[in-house]
Amino acid sequence: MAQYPERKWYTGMLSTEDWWAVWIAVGFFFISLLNIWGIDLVGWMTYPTKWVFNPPEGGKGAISHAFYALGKKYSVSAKGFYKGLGWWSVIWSYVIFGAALTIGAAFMKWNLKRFIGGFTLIYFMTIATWFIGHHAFIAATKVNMHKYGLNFALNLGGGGSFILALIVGLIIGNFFKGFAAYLSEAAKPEWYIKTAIVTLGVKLGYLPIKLSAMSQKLGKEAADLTFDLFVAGAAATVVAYLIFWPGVYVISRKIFKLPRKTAAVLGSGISICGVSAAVATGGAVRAKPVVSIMVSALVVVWAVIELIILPGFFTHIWPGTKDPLVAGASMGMAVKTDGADAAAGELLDEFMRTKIEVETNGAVKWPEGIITASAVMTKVWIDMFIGIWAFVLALVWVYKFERREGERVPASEVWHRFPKFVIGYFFCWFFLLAIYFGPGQAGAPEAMPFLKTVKAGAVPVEKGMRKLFFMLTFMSLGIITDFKKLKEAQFGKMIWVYFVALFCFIIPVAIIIGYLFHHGMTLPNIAQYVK
Amino acid sequence: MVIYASIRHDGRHWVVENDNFRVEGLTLEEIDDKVREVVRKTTPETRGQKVQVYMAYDNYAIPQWIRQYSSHYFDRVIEF
Repeated sequence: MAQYPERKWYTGMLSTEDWWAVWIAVGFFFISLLNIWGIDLVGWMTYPTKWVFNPPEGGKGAISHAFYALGKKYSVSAKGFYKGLGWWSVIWSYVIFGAALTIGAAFMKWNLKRFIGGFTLIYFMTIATWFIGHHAFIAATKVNMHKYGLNFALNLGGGGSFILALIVGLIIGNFFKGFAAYLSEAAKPEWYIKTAIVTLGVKLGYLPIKLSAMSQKLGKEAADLTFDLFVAGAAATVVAYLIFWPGVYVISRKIFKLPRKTAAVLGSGISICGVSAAVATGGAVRAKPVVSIMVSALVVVWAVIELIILPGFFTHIWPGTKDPLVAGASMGMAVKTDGADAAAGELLDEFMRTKIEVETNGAVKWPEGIITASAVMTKVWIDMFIGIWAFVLALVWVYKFERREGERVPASEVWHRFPKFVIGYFFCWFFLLAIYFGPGQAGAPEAMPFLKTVKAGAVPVEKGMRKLFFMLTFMSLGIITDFKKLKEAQFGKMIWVYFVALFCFIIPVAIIIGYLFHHGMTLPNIAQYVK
Repeated sequence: MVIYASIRHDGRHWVVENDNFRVEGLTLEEIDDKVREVVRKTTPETRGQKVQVYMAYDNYAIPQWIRQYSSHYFDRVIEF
């Protein structure tokens, strides 16, 4: 359906996934803040815990407690009510998140019948993999496996669930294509991950509050570290842009002899930020949309291959637990698409935290989420620069390469291409920081009762909602990834350009830049404060 | 004077349209020529005036699976 009215700055606020990620995540964030006034409306959010079929006497892991409502642990005003939910929290989460997402889908004019059917199946398959992935054999470490009566465990932490969800999704996407097609209306990894990234903003703002409960000094360290990541991520991203794009463009043109427009679109897809960059660049150079669509199809598959390889590589080969934030930042620059990158960052976070705990026999424990944040931070900067980059490219193209009489490039393009979910991410982060430094008195002991009420709201959002949306992302990524697409003849040379550019240029350079800007940053050790 | 229209690519042609006109062309140059001609013809009040045609890419023409990654292709303006 064509649209004729003038495109305003607010166009798309109710009709794009980008904005709906903001409305949903910020909406739940605001509802969570009602805890400050003693109203807990978010404690129902479900969360898994490790389980075994036969828990040892006096040990942990009963199946009946495998899922619980987070309010059971963190609520200040309704702990008793949420304690009684147990497995029912799975249904509460389905109904409430399902309703919120369906409202978004309705505004975006999707097929609601198919969306609701697809979401229901994806949700319960996700819960099933989350449950299986939390069997203590998969999720426990050698430090805590004895509590579940085990003598051996895979040491995968929460990463096992992510891997399982991805595997199940890939099986559906590659072997049950009819089923995958039915689910496609609700298999929206980018929407889910953008929502999860906004809740990651809640996580970043909440970290100083969380660590303040352990010690005021740790809280301040966490606030400083997240700000350092913010600055280092921006600097690393600028350097990456200046090196990546020209490098891939030259590889495409000189070695593989691709046409100029295809090289430009492919250059952005491989080097900057996958699909969104490929679409932005395609538009900037006035290419026929089919070029961006082809590159995007390729990017989606390659990004999942990176997601499978890189977290394990960074954890077990290099840099390992010596430089976890170098690994995270490099991931953000190397893995294309927000979904695959944030998912890879989350997997890396789980792997690294589990590994350091195992290596030190529990003497070192890192707070959850900072490594994920380092992977997302570089990606968020990259996303924000896409609009500016595409605008510059459009100026060069329209005024130099393909000059057409009377054509000009509207400056509003920068805003229309701006990733709106980033606004929600920074908003939640800085809002909670303002609470921490303001009424929270930077974690002073006298402010702790107040900060406890903030925590009661923040935890279900930054932990329960974020993890659930990450799980939905992994499952959906698998469902929409069809490896057979790589065989399609139309991609021809592009597959090889992608392979050569990614593994021989992008990933090594991302590691070098990540090292230069993040080497030496350390994570706070919270082992003495947690069980 | 500013005239708003949508632009999309149907797989073969660029298509520019609004409530008053619809033009198709294989290249953007061809489209621009046709737009100039049709605007002068269908909107007499533009004669002797500087006209700006703002073409907003029709987001619904972007495949739905891609829209979640990026929902904006391009907007372009021609002046004559």
